[in-house]
Amino acid sequence: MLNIKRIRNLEEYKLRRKITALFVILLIVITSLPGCSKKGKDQEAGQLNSTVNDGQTDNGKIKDKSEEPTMGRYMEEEVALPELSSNERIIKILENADKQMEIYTLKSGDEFGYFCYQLQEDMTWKRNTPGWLNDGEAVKNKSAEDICLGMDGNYYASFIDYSDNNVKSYIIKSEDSGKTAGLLKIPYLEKETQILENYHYYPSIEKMRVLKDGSLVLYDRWETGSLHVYSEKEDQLDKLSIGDEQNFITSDEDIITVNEDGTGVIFYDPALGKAERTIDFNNTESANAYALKEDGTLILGNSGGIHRLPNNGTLWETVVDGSLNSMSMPSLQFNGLFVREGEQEEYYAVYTNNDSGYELMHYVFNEKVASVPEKEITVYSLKENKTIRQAISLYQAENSDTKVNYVVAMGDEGGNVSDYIRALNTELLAGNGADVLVLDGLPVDSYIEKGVLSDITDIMNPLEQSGEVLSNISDYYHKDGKVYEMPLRFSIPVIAGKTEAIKAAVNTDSIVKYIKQTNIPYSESTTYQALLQDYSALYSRELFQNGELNEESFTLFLRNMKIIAENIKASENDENSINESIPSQLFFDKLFLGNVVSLQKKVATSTEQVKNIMGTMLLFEVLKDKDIGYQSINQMYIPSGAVGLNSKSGETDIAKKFIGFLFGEKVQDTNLYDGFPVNAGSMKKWIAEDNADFNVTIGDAEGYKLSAEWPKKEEREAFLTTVMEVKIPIETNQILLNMIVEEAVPFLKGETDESQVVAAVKTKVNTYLAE
Amino acid sequence: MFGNIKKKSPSFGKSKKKNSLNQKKEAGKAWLFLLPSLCGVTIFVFLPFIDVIRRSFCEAMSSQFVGLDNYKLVMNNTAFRLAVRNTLRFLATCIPILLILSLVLSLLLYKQKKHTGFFKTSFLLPMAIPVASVVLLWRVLFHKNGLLNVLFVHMGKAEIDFMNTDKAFIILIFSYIWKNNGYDMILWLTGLNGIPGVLYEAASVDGAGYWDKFRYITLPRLLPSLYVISILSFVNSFKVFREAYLISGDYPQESIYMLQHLFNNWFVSLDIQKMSAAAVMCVLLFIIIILLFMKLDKDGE
Repeated sequence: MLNIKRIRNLEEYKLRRKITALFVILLIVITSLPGCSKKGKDQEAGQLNSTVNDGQTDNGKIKDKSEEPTMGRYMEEEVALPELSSNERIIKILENADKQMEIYTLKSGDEFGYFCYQLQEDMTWKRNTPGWLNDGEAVKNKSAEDICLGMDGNYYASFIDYSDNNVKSYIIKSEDSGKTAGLLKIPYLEKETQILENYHYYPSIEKMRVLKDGSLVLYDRWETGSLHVYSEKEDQLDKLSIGDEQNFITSDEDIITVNEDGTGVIFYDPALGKAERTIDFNNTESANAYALKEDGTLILGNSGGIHRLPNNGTLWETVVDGSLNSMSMPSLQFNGLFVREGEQEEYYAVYTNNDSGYELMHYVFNEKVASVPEKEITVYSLKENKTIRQAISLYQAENSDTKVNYVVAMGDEGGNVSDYIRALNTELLAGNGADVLVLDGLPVDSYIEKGVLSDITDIMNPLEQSGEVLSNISDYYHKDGKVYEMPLRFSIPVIAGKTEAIKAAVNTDSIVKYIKQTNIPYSESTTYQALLQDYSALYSRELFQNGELNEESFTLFLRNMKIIAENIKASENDENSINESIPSQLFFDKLFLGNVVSLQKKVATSTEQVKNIMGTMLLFEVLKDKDIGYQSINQMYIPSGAVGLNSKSGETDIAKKFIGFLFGEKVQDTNLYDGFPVNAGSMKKWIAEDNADFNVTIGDAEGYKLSAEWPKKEEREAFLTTVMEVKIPIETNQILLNMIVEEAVPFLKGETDESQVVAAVKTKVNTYLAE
Repeated sequence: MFGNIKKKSPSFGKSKKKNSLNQKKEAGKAWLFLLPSLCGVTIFVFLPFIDVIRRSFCEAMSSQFVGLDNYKLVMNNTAFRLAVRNTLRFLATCIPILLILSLVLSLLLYKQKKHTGFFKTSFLLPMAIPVASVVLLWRVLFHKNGLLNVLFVHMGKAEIDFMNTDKAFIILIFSYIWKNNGYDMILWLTGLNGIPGVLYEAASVDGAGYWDKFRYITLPRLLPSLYVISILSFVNSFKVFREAYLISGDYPQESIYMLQHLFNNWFVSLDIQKMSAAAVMCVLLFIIIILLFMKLDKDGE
């Protein structure tokens, strides 16, 4: 019995030893796996480094061909447009039959007339006067909408006539080799479509092309999802449905455009009345431009790049990567594309920019440039940031050896922000995070505390010392002598109204006092949620003391909010469509969505988030009433696009250079409607910009209307004073604000009592702060 | 006699050798089957956990050794204490209730001769319902303006805000028991089916009543199952976080703020050092609990 027990113990002992041995072997094998991989990586890195080094220093060694980067890439160069005289603007840029670029302009005023500039071989522009565009009464004092060279060899132009309460289009065609023009009689253009406020609307032809047989393909402004095919002889030949607001081109017989559901490019034959073929193409959302070669090869340009489809082919070949040049800039929209034959094709791309101006770019193949940039950095943001996108394009245009990857974690589909942050944190912990972080919506304080962000004082200090960056904005971001983040843009919540009313906005107590004295609505009605979001963001500093929620202050805040909500007749549902949440926006984009139009409704104030000069147009219109003034609230502003440098970045120098570039005038000059620039020079340019022909009219469901023109110089300069005054950022902690809003909405609705809300919020907030 | 014994001894030795060889072969096969899972557990659990232990003694983003600072930090953290308190309270409340309730149901079903399949399916059905659907159902039922409150108002009673008061804890326990009851019941039934019927027959002949049979036959015979069922219930109890998270988000009512909430939130704020220290402490605590279960199981044997 004892023996058997011993044998069993011995067997158990052996088994345990075996298990331990097996486990140790497994451990060794597994731990050696990453080691192998690291070695491999090191080897790869070594190869890359040696390539770069060899490139930099010619040490006479025989290079391994596999180590050399593939060479050849299309490079972008801007074509300077002709200098235009005053009151002269570009109508259209196109290519003539001799493959020469032509720019058609219109000079308005006393010297009214159309001009044509032709690009010469020495890249200069030669001006002439196109007889056909200046021929007769039909075109006099009328602005052309579109000009095209038909496949039949004639020029065509469409006009929209706004005279005599009519909005009507007509089309002219060049005759006598372009000396004269004839008016086309198209029955479709004579059909009235609707009457609105005494205005008679007819089809408005915004874009057009002409087939070889002279048939016109027309894009009507009122029917953005279809094209009409007409001929002078017959009435409508055909009508085809296309993707909404899409460009199109014609070959001799076909119309080429994006199909109705936006999944591909169709070759539509009007003679057959159907699409001959459809080629899948998955990037049809952005504006497309087309060019057609003589051999039938289709060239398509969009924000993703320039893509080629061989005649009768089905596969697209991307020849120019849009992410490496201007194509991906949010400020530019593709307007036209032209191709030149040669050993290597050359492309001319026409873009329209945010200021309704034109830009012409030339793409030439350069075989001395690496096809893929050798250096690479990554920029991360939770949501798409237009300024970053714009800056990436500009930076890459200046630094052809660097590729900047832009990772946007959340698309328009939304989702749980914390899930995306957790995914980012996993990367940061592994040391693989992006080089540059756009910190909007991210836990910045925690990142600073944990050492995720590097000090960028060496980038910011020179900019601040030279006065390039607005000191009233940048000063706040100096913490213990270091700078870890800096916003690219900022907007200002501006309150407008009677002087006493706007003075009361200093805190909720004063607002309540004002309400009790005057008994008029303090602002336009809004939802409980929007009201709480706005006020919590503005006055959150009152509520927290020593890192905890102050119960007394919060109770007072709730009582005041109840009085304000009753005063403005806040409601549960938002009846104002302007307040609908847009998934692509971050939390702070949804704050202060008031509108000064409401000041006509006998409300005391209106608070609006002003992001650019255009946003002040209505404000200054309202200010014409001498009793009304405006100011920022407690000198607060809303920062956006805050950038920081990842301390684990493998490309610190490039990342720093890129961050410095972000604050330069080149990036900051462009108005992308996402806030004012922090660059002082750009700010001055924005203030100086005069847009006399720009006006805006806004109305609401109740019939209140307000029209405004571009603010005058003194008004703009006065606003600059407000801009320079702001110095305290509204740092919205979305988690804390959500806690307050979630619990306080039922209180404002009268469903819960004050003590319940205070207790619930205090528990949640203190748990959050204790974490 | 001796001769006989002598004759038998070589064959006994042979069969012993053969048995040992068979055992070795069996053990080898077992390890072969275990190997893939062992690899997975080693790669995805053991090795990362070694890193977690390392991180618990270091600063968040660097390898700088900080000793027991992180542990002290976590122990003094009120949110951690609250989460541990709630988690232990939840475990201490719901596991006994679940074990007893599922045992009672299994005994009832064991006696039931008709429609057993129907009852088993009915009790197991909550396991097949996706969490998202359960959450929607809970919202419809327990929301402040939900069906239950509508019923209360009709009955002339005051509305109850289930998810924003201490009632949330009861809802969570109900949710856990509703979901896991069927599973535990099946496990108990397996144990019950393993008890030979002759034991009950013999006890009946000896004049034992229902309670005596349960006390002296059923309960002792079910003790080995108790260990497995307790461990599984313990493990399943952590899954209830999904429901709590989906109903109330990152910051629920205080009574249902669990360890997983805290860990999730710490990960968002990149407090990896706190997370690691807390995880190590929790694992130690859970190992102690499991060892306790094992000891109880051995004592039972």
